[in-house]
Amino acid sequence: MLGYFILQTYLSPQERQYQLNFGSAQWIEPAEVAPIAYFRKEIFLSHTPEQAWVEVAATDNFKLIVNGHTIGSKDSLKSRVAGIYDIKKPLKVGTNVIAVSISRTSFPGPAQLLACGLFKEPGAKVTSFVSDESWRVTDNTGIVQGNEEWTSARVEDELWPKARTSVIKENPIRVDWVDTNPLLFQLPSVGSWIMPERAGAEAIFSTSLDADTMRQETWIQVASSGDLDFLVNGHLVTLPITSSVALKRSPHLATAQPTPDQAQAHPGASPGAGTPSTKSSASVETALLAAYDISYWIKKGPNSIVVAVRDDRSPARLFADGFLVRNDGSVRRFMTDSHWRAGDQPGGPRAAVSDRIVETGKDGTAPWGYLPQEPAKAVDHSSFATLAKSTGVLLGTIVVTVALWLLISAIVAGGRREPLAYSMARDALFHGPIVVGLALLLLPEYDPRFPAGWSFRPGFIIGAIAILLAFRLLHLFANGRVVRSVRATVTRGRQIDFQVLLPYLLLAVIMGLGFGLRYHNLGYMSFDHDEMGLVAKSKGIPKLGFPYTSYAGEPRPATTYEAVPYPLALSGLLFGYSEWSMRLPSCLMGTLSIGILALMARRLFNWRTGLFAAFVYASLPLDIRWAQNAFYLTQCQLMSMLSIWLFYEAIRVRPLRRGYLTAFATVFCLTYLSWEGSGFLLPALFLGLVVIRWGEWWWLKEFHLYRCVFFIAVVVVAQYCSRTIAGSPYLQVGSGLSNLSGPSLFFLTPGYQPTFYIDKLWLAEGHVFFTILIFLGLPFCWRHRGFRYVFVVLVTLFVLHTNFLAALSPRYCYYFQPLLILGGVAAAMMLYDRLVSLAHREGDSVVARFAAHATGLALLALLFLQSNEWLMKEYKLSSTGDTPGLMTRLNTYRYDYRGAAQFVMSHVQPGDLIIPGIPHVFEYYAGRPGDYFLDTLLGSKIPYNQNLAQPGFVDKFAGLPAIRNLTELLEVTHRARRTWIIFAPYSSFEKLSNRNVLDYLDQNSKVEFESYRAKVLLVQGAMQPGSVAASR
Amino acid sequence: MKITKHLAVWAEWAAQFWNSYWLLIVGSGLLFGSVLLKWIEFPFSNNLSGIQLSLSRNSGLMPHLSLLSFGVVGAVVLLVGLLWQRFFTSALGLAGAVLLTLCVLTPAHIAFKQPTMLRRLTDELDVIALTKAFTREVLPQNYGAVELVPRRLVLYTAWGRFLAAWSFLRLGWYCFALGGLLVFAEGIRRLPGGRALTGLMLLCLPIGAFVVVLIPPLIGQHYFAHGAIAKARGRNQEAIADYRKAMRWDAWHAQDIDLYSTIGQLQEEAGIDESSPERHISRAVELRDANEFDPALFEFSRAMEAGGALEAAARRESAQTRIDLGLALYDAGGVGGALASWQQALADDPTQTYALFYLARGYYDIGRYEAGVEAVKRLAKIIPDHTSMLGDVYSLAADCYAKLGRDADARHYYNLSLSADAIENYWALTGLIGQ
Repeated sequence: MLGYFILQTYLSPQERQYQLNFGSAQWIEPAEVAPIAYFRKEIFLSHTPEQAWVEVAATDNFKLIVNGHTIGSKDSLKSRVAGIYDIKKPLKVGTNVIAVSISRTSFPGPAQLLACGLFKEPGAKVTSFVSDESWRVTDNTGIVQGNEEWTSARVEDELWPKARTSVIKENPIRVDWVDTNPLLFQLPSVGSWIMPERAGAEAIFSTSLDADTMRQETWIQVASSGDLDFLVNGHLVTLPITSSVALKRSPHLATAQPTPDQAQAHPGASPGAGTPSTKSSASVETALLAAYDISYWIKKGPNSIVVAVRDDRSPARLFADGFLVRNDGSVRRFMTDSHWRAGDQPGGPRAAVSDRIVETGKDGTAPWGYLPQEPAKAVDHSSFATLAKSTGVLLGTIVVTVALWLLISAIVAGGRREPLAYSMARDALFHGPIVVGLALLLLPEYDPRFPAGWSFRPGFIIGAIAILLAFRLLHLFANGRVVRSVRATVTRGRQIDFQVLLPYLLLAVIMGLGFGLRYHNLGYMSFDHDEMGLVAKSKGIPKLGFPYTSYAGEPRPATTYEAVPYPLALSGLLFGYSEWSMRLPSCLMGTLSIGILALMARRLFNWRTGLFAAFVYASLPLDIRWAQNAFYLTQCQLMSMLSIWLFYEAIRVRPLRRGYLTAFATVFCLTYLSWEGSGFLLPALFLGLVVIRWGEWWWLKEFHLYRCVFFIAVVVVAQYCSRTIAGSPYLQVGSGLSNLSGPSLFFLTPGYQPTFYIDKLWLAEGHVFFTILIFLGLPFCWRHRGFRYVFVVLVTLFVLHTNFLAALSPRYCYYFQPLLILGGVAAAMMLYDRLVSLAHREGDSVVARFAAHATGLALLALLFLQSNEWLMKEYKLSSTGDTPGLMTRLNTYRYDYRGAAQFVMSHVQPGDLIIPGIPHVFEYYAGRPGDYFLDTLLGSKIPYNQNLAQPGFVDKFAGLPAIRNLTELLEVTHRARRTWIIFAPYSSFEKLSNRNVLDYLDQNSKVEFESYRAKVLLVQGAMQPGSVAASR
Repeated sequence: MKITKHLAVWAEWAAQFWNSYWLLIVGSGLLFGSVLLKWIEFPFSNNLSGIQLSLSRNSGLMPHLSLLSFGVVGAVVLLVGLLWQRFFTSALGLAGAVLLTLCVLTPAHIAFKQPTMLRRLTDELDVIALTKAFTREVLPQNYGAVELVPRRLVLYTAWGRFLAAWSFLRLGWYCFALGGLLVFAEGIRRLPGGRALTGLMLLCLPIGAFVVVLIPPLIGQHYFAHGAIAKARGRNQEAIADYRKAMRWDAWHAQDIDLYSTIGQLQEEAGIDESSPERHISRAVELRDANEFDPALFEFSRAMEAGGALEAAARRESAQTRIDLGLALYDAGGVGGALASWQQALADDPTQTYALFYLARGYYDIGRYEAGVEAVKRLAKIIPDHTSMLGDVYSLAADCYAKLGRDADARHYYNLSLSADAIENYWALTGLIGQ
């Protein structure tokens, strides 16, 4: 761990991050609370600006658009993302529109924006702006009349509502860090274009730069007329050769070179945009100021900067502008000017006259004009040498640490006249708190509120080494007498009867906490389509006794999740149908899972493991979120945990315990009927049995085992048959998950993704340290039967789902996710126990026990802190970085079907038609069915209904006639007075709709309502007034 | 009763056997199973299994069983180890070490010994982007999930190429590695004494082999980096000399068209070697990047006269330029010219098989449906492992048959397309429905 810190602090290039200063800008939001917002600000310019930048911060995400050109976007769920951008290129003389769209998915609260910017026109006229109530904002783009884009300067934004200032309770308001030093954009350009007097096609420029300290923060921006090679103190900063492959794009026949004016009129059209050095044929279009952070190569004193420029068609020219940041935050500028030297020796003799450097003009000089600025693309400098260096540092640190350990132990053993093993054990224990402390220090590295590299500071390393050395002084206080008295106190405590009840009381408290977390906001979110499917099926139970939906006037029994609608039906019967009542069973089962996990862990390990695992599980966002959802997952997880526990109880002793085995068989069937994918539990439990009873085969002769297996097989086969039989009467077209009939050799197919569940389970948000501890503890804990059982079942399920289930989803691994928590916590507890036992072997001195307990407790704290959002927000601690997985963060909305349906129902008029995205959810919230179902790519299965007056394909849930192509859609929209189309879930609707249909809707509809991942479009029939928003 | 007794005896024997040899059984199972599984995933053409990945030669577009393949050699080594174990106690450990050596050498073999294969892998990666764009813009859509291809790779360092080669390895290689590890563990477990020392000594075998394979590319890397710095300092002749040394030590560099182009550019700056092949390549690359394809092809043809590795690199690049020219012509509406260009590309370099994909569509566009079907049949043999693209080409053949009025054949091919790619294959579905 120390070696890793040394490596990161001293030997790896550090990524710097910065906080933006927004000055007097205020957070603004729409006048009416809305998660989606489109902000606009018009700016008038008399001249093309020589400097123009804008800083933006927003809730969850933003997209910055200037005059219709997308400048940048950021996305980080539950953060206030920020960015700074150079916007010289898209700006023009006249009215310019700065537009920002925000689509928030975290709740509660509206979309909020903070922005400021500056434009400097030639003649030192400076215009600045900040976000305030003069900005215009709307929550849907339907407000725009005609076919103009909402970002267009032709849109009359006087018609738009004004933004209002946000009232934010959070103090201080934390805005994410940015990777680019804002000074790059904010400092005026001072460099000049330079070239050698001889004006050759190749030129080498050099200069010397004095730095105050090693690795002083240094930025340089360079632009050149052709290919560019850039050396800092002999280190190549740019790519070694220009790769033609990197420029690969769709080929076109050669056309005349566009003039600079044309290039400016179509920014972004140049093929090589973004590459600082490209072939000369494109140089006029693509010269841009690429910013490099060269701090890593800077040494104290003079530093050599060498730049080679090669241009086939015109004299090689260079422009550079840079600065060094002093310790007090002030900057020292350097730039290209006539003081640069020709040749690669900046400190060499003065060049001959023909090689003198001349300045050809400032920034803004033709043919490039004012140079657009961009951070340079990162160059990968890693090599075998990097690998060797890293390995060397790590090994070196280990060797030094071990040598110190042995040396000091020997000295202490001699000094104290005690066995060497005692002092070695005690000294080893002193390393524990440092290791775990350093691991705790790593956590801020994955929290977006801290800048990158925050954890890697020389102070921490020196501190760690100093503390490690200082701890050694504790050898002087190694004393056994106090320990005896402490132990006596503990022993007396154990005699209290209350202690027997204590774990149960603690468990009740933890379950209470878990229930509270799960119950909070239970009915806040709209049903999603998965929940609604089960809710709809549950309504059949009171009528016929089994879950079904009606199709073509006939009941269509549920063929999957058969056991899940029963609790929903009961809850519906008791409390009526609402989001709250339908999610209540999940909430209760999620709370029960906490208790089951604790009791199971108690039986497999001990109370401490059980209580701590339950505490972690109770606070884990993923488990809280699923317990607030009425889909099958919580029930399936609860049943799975029970199955795994009961099976363990059955095989724990010889002979097998029949009662437990019978209970297991029953519960397993319920698990299987909650979701068929849980059938993988059977082979996993079989392997668990083999591993627990390694070398024993007597259980093969247990007849009751075969009885239970037979019972389970009957249920599985019956379910499979019912699924096949129930599906056979329906003629269907389209794709759907029901194509998947059972396990297959998925690993032989191209869609195989071996790392899917590594990303979604092992290294998912909140899980990483459990995984680390499981594998770290494997050598120490393998002998423990319970750990072996948990590990084998967990790994087997992972392998089976990865290789034999031809469908991948993060939710498929959810039913065995508690095993990961249990395994990690158990490994941590066992490591803790080992440390305490080491202290005991050492002679039970206070200092050794203190070190052991400090390490163990810190380890548990580490596990807890990384697993939830209570203190640290470890959003970046996963294999996919800050990309939230399904349901991994609290208070994030899924799909607002409810809002969309309510909006449509409050605006629908006689003669209007409604095409809902998910018909049965719409019907539930609107109280009336939709009219048609749009399925233009056959992305979901549509059965054929021969009983209709006009037989045809219909939606499988609500039986709405399916629209399969543009012709059918046109027939519907032309017939209707107005047509409402609900695009929800928005992203998949776009993905699963024909391009022609999307184009038609893009041209003929207006977005009238937007909410969390949902849009409502209105297609006007002939001679109808404009949008709803406009007529409000 | 007698049968039950026999069964019990056999079960007991099986249980004891399992207990004694489970590491070996699992390891051997993984190892023998792995040789039939996918070892290398090509983004476009046929994948390679363990018995097709040859130790001695490039496996080519249509891979066959090779006796000197990693899979076959691995299986033989294991069998020999098992047989010799009775006479020589460390035979199994040695066999395990050899298996680990084979395992470690696989990515090194692709990266450093078979740069042609790595070149084809990375070229296909680039080609996939183009074919996807072509599919999106020109063909009816199959909206199913597309295959995942590895990310863009760093190829200018030896370490980057090693990682690139590794990124193309798939399940078969991982099973082989795990199997080898288990066999090695079993071999060490069976040693009578001094296990740790013997184990360490045996581990020197894979490490040593890796180091031996690594040395030439590392030297090449040294010269390459030196050349790049010399170039940045404007010492063009020194840079050229270093680059040439890098080419001698590392065959990857000898096949790198960008390096030849850089040398040509440096020669031009230095005013030397007026009509060297590298200068032709430099001009050709520049012209091609400016979409001036015909002069670029002429320059490539001049460069090819040099022969050797440079000729091979120029020939490959020339064929790729012809394909690009075909795409540009097709984009501009010149389907006839595009077809001629793609045919010529295939004739120049038969490994550029992705031209067949464009050819098939081109034939369909000009009404040569039979030729389109033939192109599809050729292509289908090369891309059987890539279901998304296979689904598309079958649908294309079905469209050709539909135009020919052979409805039964059309239905057959639409069904083949659906079998290959069942998820959201809108093209085949609507074809079958008759839309």
